[in-house]
Amino acid sequence: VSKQLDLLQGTLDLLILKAVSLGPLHGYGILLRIQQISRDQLEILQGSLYPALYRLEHQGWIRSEWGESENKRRAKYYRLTAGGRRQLEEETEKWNRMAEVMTGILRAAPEEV
Amino acid sequence: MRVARLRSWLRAVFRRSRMESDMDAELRMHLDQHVAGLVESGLSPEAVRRKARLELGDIEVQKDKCRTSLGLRFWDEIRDDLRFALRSLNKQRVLSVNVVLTLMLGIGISSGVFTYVDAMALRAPVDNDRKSYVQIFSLFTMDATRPMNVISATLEDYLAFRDNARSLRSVTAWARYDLNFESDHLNTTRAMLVSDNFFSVYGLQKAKLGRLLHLGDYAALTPVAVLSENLWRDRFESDPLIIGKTIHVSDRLVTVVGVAPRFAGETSKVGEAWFPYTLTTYLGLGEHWNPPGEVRWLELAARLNPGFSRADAATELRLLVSQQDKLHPGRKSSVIVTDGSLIHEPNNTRIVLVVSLIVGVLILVLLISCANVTTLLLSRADARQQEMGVRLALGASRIRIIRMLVTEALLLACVAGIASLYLTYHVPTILSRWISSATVGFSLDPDWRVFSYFTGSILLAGILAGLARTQIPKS
Repeated sequence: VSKQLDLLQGTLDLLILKAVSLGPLHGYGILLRIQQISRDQLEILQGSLYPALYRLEHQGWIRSEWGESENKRRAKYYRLTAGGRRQLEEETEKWNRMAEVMTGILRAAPEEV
Repeated sequence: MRVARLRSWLRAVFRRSRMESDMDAELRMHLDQHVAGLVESGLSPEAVRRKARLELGDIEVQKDKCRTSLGLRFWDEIRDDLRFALRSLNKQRVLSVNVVLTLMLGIGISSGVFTYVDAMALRAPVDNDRKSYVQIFSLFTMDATRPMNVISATLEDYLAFRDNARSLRSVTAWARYDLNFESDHLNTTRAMLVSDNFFSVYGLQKAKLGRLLHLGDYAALTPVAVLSENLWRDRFESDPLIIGKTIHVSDRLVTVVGVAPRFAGETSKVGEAWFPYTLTTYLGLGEHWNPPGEVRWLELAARLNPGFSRADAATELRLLVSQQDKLHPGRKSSVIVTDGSLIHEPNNTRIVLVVSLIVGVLILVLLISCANVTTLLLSRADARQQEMGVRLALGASRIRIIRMLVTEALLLACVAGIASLYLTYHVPTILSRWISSATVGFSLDPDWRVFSYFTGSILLAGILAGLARTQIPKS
């Protein structure tokens, strides 16, 4: 657990959007998908997952419908909407820019200043 | 995205039970899957269940967070507040009825009476474009050492004003008499001798039947009259063929040319008729011992031209009347221009006194209702100290408790507001029927600013009192 990273504020939404952009998923599936992609480096606090899902659906970025899960149970599946795809692109670009800037700053050596 | 939010919110509100059961199913499904996942990792079933629950957190808390995400919390709380307020008002029925009655009498009667006083004494007796209406009072003396008297105007002065004043449009003149109509020598009927623009100054453009007076009637040989709707209905049985018929006024024949609907210029409840002012001699009116230019018999009103003030009009009319003075050696005249309200009439100190008395009493009534409501709410707040303590101990926030109390007060206020609205609407008409025999042609509609001011002040006092005494201990 100690090598897992704490989630930065505001990144959960981006992670969820990314996870459902790869295909429709139910809530628990989203959790697993994020852990899997991050190779268990990230763990999402389950308590914040569903409020975030409801918020994203409320914004119109994801849409839900009931379907059947892998073990034949009724489950609510989330998929990305067109608006959600745009939002994901926008947020990804913002994230990359931010990462670049941060890396630049953290790399700065005394002679460059 | 705003559309999406609205759609989502509407769906959540209108298909609430479906949304709730879906949410419940979704969270339980999540727990089950999590448990299944953990079991594979080899923990004991009880430990697994416990761990899964701990990780997701309490389901009810989760649901509440999801509801917040959908923007439902705020409305849920208002609905709960309202439901609770209804229940607690119902529980304290005597007190609630008491508060509502006090408010109803306090607000309803105060603003009703004030509306009446306002309409009768504080504003111009017209309904259209009240700001441009002015009333003109003549002052004159024949003895320069003594103060001038307020008195009616001469026809010459009126014509000088009408033809020359540039700050005024349509200066109108009238004289009021009571005459015998249709040879009825027992009762008199109001006869108004007016200028042709009298109707338009008081906002009437069209007759109900026939026509109103026009300039041609003032030089014509046939004497004509316009009847008020009341007179036409009561004395002529709403005769549809009245136009063109001759009637007897002071035993002279006059031709009816029109019937006027109710309008702001009416002065009698039981009906009246309007004649061109040139009919004085024909109808045997006026005094005959003064030379024609010195008979003072006309009352004057007018409408301001755009861009001119009452002060402008007064300055101009004083100049005109001083020119008129040159035709009458020894005469010294002036004018006063008012907004047409009773209270601004010159030398009308009695009205000022009466109005201040009435308004004083109203303020007293208002204060008493204020005190009454405040005391009632205070006593209730005291009795509920313990309830508040329990609520706080159960985890209600201070702001939540205040909201609950304010909702209760507002609900009470709504009921009282509707009740007093009814009174406000009816008191002026009832008063007008009681107090004076003169008709009120102009509107007695409530003054909404006054109504909301009265309502607001009483409520504010009530709410503040209720809150101040509910000492909600700091958690």
